Amino acid sequence: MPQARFNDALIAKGQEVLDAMRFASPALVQAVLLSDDGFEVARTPRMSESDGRFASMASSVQALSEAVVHELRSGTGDEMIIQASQGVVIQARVGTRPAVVSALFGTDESLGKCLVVTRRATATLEEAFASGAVSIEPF
Amino acid sequence: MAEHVILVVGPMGAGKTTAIATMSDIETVKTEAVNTERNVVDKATTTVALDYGEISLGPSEKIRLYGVPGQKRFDFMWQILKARAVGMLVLVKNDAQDPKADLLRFFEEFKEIHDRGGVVVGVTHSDVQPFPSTIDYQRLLAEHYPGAVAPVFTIDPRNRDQLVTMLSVLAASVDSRAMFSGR
Repeated sequence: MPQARFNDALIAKGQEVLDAMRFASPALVQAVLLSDDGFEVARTPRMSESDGRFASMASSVQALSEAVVHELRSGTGDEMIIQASQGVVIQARVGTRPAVVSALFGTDESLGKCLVVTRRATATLEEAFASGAVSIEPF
Repeated sequence: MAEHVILVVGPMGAGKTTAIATMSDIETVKTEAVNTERNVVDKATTTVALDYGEISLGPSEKIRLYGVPGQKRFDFMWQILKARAVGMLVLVKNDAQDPKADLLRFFEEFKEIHDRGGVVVGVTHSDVQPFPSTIDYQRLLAEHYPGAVAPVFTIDPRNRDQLVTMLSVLAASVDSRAMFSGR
């Protein structure tokens, strides 16, 4: 369930963007928009079970990947890819916001398509943040 | 050179990240994120994966320090990190709602580290809230874990001398445990 700590506009926009990812790629198994500190903002499919654990793990992985990039002085960590035997997890920060999209795709999708779909999602969310339509400030 | 992996555990806001940064000889690795739970603990950021630092205790002993996230929702990181630790520093925030319960919760969660190595307890924020006292905590542990050895100190996580003293006690405990067990 999306957390009540986030405002309705962010939850609605997040849901819209994640649903658009599913439309763009039928291979999308699940996608979550999460806050940097590991709380779920929105998810698709909407009815899937969630105890928030995936969002917590995704935030830890995001932070560790960015720590590695920082340690290696390799700029900023734009995307993280976990290739599994039965799918691929793509994770990307929304611009410079404290928000991340994490998506699991099945094997019947090319990595390039997975990346494009995820990039479009984060770009759309970043536009919404930049325009002031949504924000992630804690209550 | 002997090397030990020591965990720094405790609830959110106890001072784990600060303590590791204060102790470490190297620039620490931090994984802090904007805290959206300001209603729970009023701090700007929170650790979501781990903190990492290193400190040498003399020419022949090096400590690798790992700080764990304080919130239960990150307990998968607790499982990963506790498997490799031989000692543990539990920080308790004395002005929390129920610091005694916090100590028991974290001691129980990471008890296997006590059983194979050593534990020390650091009570923070005692300048704001002096009670429970260190004796109260010692009695609490003795009551719930008879025979457990876990010295209790009041500390300021910004005070390196206090932290190094506590860490030295812990390292001695780990070394003596290893010596008696033949490890």
